[in-house]
This record gives sequence, structure tokens and C-alpha cells, in this order.
Amino acid sequence: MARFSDETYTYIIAGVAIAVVGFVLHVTGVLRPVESFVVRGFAPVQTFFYQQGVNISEGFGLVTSIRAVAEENQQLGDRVKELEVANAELKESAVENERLKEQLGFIEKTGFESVPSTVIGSDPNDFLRSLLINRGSDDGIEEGKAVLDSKGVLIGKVFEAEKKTATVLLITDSNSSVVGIAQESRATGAVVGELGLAVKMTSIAQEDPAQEGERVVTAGLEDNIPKGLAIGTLQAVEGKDNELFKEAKIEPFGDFKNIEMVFVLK
Amino acid sequence: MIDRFGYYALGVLVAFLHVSFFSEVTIFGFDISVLLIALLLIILQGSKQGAYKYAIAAGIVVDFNSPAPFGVNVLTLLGLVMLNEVILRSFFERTSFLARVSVMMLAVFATFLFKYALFHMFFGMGVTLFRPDVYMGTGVMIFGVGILNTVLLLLTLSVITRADDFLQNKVYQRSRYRS
Repeated sequence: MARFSDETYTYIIAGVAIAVVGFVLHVTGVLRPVESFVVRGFAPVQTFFYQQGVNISEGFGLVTSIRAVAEENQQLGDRVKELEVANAELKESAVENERLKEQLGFIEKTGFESVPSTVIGSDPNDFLRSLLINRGSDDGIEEGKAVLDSKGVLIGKVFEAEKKTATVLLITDSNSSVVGIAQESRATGAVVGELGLAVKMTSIAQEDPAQEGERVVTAGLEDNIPKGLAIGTLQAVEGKDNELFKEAKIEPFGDFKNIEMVFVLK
Repeated sequence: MIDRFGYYALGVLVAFLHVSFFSEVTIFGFDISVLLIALLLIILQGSKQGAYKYAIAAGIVVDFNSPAPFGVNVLTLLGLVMLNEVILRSFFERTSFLARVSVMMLAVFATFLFKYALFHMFFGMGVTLFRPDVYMGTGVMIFGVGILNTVLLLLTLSVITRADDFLQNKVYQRSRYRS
């Protein structure tokens, strides 16, 4: 059995003590001002390095594929996504329009007020898919608020809001859950992440006729998530007849890599 | 002075780059773990105390930038240094090629297991809402990250060794010329 030297034990004990004390202070909120000060102090430099990383990452992507085809593909893909989002919004507006016409006799579409924020870092981690942004509770950001990318696609929710910064949990994270609705069949379910790799819609009632290719938007059943925010397209719908619920994979509209700017809904 | 504070400073710098610059840089979809590469370089160079200093400093910086409960990264990095110390003392020669190849794979797997255990513990205690989930793709991802970072570690070691040889050679030539 390998034994450690006295000096080694000193470092181990010191490290564990720092972790335990830091953990207690973090949980009780005593460490918050220090954390906030450190993150805020480094934010400008961190933002610069983060953006350089994003640029290089994009460069790698092009080099590793055939450049011209990749570029064209990218442009077409972006265009399709933009159109899909626009289409999803229009369809949702149309459905909403009809219902409001019937019920109230007038249409009123309110524009969402949002806080534009820059991504200043993220924790590359096997278990958490999160982003750190440069706006916090001082700017009106609250926990649970919806976070959109520059195309207006839902990419996550605010998990933790400090005074000047906030942490966004991406919808691809296994701990993220948003109620979604399929636009044509009106099937509802929980949109949950899969270890940062994919998104799926679970708890779809067996009798709901959800179909592949349908666009999924937010159902608006949660306090801070408005209705009609684009999420993605339903892929293979799976479910056995003897089960209460079925589930479907979702191809998200959002690009969860290289996010530089996000919009937090107020 | 450098020996006393250099490893702390290195830890802070590398951790800072890890959460900013390298957080979005991937190769073939696999993350570059500059945090582990630097730690293993220190361990392979034989500086045990330096590795502990680096682990504490880097862990604190990453914990400040992570939504995970504070301390997860400090404990994980400390655990890695201890594990490597035991492995290199018991099974491999520190300078052997086998040690260089295996430490990174072991470190990547151990990081995953340490974090999984800590997250489960914190989730069970009700401290965090994060529930660690593992899917089929996780194994492939860990294996890919392990291989990629092993290659990067070997490349970095090779560059350092060549640079060292070059400088030694230059010093030797200069001393020969003077004599």
C-alpha cells in the first residue's frame, strides 16, 4: 500500500478543508459576494478568451470537413433553421390567433422584453451543460427565466442569478425540463435533455397523435416560460400500446456549441 | 519564490483558460482537457508537491465558475493527484512510455467517476438539484476524450523534451566555446 509523506498529507488536508469550508460557505450564501467579485473581476478578459475559443472552434469545424461543401451546408442549414423557426412562430401565432378570435374576438400579440447578454464562460463538465453570462439580478434576470439564442430559439433556463452574472442551464442537460407542445397534434410532454447530447419529449399521453416532423414549442404552462418559443422538430416517436406514455426524440433548432450571445426573457 | 507560488499561479492561469478559451474548443467533438494535461505534465515531471498546489488553485477557480456545488473540482483534482501517485509508485516507471499513455486514460475515467460519485452524494443529500445521468454515449465520449487528451499529452511532453534538449545543447556549446 502506497503511503504519502507528511507534506503530502498537509496538502491533502488543506485541499479537503478548502473544499468543505467553501462548500458550507457557498450553501449558506456567505461566499456569494466573493464569488461574484471574482467572476465579475475576470469577466472582460474571460469574455475575450471565450470568444477567441469560439472562433477557433468554428475554424476547426471547417478544417475538418470539406471546406466549400461545409460552408454551403452550414448556410443552407442556418437558412432552413431560420425558416423553421419563423414557420413555427407563424403556425403558433395562427393557432393562437384562431383561439383568441373565437374566445375574445380580438388579437393581441405582445412582444417579449429581453435582456441581451454575452456568454463569458462555461463549465466543460460531463454532468452539467451550463453557460455563464454577464448579466444578473441587477439587470432584472431571475431564476427560471427562459433564455433564447440570437434566432429566438429556446436554449435554456436561468439556473442561478447573481447580482452581475447568471448561470444558464441548457435544455440539453439531463436536469433541464420544459413543458413542450407539438404544433399540429397539440400533444404535450416534458422536453428534457440527455447528458448534453440530445433533447427528447417524454410523458406524451398515449392517445396524443404526436407525429414525426412536427415542430415543438413551449406550452406556456410554467410561470417564467411563455408560450410559443421554438424548441425543435419531433423525430422518432416511440411508445408501446401497454404503456401510459410515449416519448420522442427532438432535433433542436438551437446550436448549443459556440454560443456567444443570448437573450434572457424578463 | 517560483517553486513556492509558481504552481498556484499556473493552476489559476490554466483553470481560467479551461473555463473560457478551451470550454468551446473541441476536436472531432471531443473536449480538450487542458486542466488534466497540465496536471499530468507536472506529475510526470516528478513534482508531487507542485501537483497538489496546482490542484488546489485550479480547483478553486473552476469551482468559482461552475454551477456545481463548491468543492467538487478541488476534491476531484486532489483525488486525481493521489490516485496517480499511487499508480506511478506501484505499477509504472514515471518516465516509461506506458505510464505516459495510461495516466491520461486513467485520469479521464477517474475524473468521471469522482464527479459522478460526488454529484450523486450531493443530490442524495438534497444539496443540489443536479442528478447525474449516464447514457450509452457517455462511454464513447469518455473513451474519445481519453484518447484525444493522451495524444495531446504525448505531443506536449515531446515538445517540452525537445525544447529542453535544445537549450541544454546550447548551454553545452557555449561552455565548450568558452573553455
